[in-house]
Amino acid sequence: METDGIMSGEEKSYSSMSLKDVWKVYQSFGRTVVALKGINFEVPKGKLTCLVGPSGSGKTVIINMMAGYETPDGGQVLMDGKPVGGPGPERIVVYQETALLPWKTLMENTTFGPLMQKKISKKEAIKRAQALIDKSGLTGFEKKFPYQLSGGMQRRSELIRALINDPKVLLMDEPLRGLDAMTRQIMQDYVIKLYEETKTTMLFITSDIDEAIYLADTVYFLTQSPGFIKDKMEITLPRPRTSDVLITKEYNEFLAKAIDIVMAEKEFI
Amino acid sequence: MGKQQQEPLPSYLPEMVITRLKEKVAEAKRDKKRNSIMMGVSVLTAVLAWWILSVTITPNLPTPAEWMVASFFAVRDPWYYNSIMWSVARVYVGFGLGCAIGIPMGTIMGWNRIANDFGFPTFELIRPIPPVAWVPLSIIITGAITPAIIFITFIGTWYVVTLNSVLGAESVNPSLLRAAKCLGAKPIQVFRHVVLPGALPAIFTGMVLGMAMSWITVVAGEMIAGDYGVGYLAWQSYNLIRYPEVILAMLTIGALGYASSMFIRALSNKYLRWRAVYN
Repeated sequence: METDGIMSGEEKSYSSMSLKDVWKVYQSFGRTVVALKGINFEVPKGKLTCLVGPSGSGKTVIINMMAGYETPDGGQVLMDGKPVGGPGPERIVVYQETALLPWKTLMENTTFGPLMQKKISKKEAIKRAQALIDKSGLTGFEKKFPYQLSGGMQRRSELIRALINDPKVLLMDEPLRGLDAMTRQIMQDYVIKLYEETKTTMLFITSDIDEAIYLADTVYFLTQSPGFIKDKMEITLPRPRTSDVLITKEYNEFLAKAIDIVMAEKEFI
Repeated sequence: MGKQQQEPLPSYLPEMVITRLKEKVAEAKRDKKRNSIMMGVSVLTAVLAWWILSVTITPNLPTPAEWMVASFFAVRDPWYYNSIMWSVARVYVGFGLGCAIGIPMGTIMGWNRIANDFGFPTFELIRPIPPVAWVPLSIIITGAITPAIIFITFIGTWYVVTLNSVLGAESVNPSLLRAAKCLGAKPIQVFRHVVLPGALPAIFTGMVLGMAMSWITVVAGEMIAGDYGVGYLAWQSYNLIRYPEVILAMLTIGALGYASSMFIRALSNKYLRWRAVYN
């Protein structure tokens, strides 16, 4: 497979994922906690899907099951219609806390996946990593260790470390959490750019409604313990999407509707 | 670490800021000078205290002057260097073996549940025995002095290096292990690229402690059963009523231990460059 043109928009074989009536239950100290109560949702091929939910709604559990770190206690997690196996580079996760290897430089971190899988030569891996680094505004930082990079740079490094492997699905668990407002805005634009240039199937989990509407093609809403999908919304804002969209009437209508959906639950609390 | 090259100052800095920066450099220099003066004063005070003790309540203690004269002759004796060589060789062989076995053993135990369940109970059973308590048994087993002393320095190093390696491997952030697995690393690659480097800071702590243990055990071993070495030199000098040489041997042991731990610290600075604390 010719893998030169990552981010250049050429046709790739991406996958869709779906959860069918997925349950997850934890037992500890004699208590039973239902984390997920029959979840159903789709992450269509080549689309950016967002999952919005408050903390404690089982968002991370969903990602862990999709990545293959955990198995559901009921129902199925499917990729292209087949149940998923253990973790691997076809479904890469980007977590909220940085998981760059502190003892490897930016270049070594970026080429980590390809060099471990040994599918391409080291020279080729470095060439591809350099292209991604240049496109992400990280040029000149190749030999820096993660602690020498800013928060935003670390998140970008983590995203390109995932993308260099040509994942069939990219799973992001609140990757922008904890960034300051300005960096966060820049990073949202960066995620949109990555998506629009590669059309990689992406699942983006967040607790921020604005962010979800700005990024997504489809937004799913998750309720708090036990978590289940209460609603979904198709975001028909135009692509390529830029921050101009944030002041349009359409965007604000989506936002108002989304807030109604989220607030409907609050009446019971 | 070390000397840092000063980058040229930005050209837009106003005069008052540059003046202040120069003042700060001068202040730092003054602090450093005071620091070295205090170091000299501290040593002089200790020598003075030693001298007062030796002429008052502990007359058996040689005076600093007596010590210096005796040492002047002792350090010209090849026997002194012979002793140092023996001790250093024993320490480094025992220490090297202890690390060579303890580091892999500890990291694997800290990483793998099954290895831990298998190895840790026995390790914990043996660990409370002080290394010096192994002296008689190790002479029985090996039948000779030098292998026996190397064996106990090995035990002393091995205990602490293994224990710290276990803790180091256990302390590796689980999200790094998860990320590596996700990126397609096989277990052996996870060990090589994630567990081992992650455990390295703790391993170096273990090595510094192991080196100290190694010197403690070598001196004890040489005093109990020695034929050569600095520990033996101290004990023999006592038996021969050459008290200044006792002190010389003690200070030599201290200096050798200090040099050894500097060696490990230099190693750790080289390999832990990725840690912010070292910059």
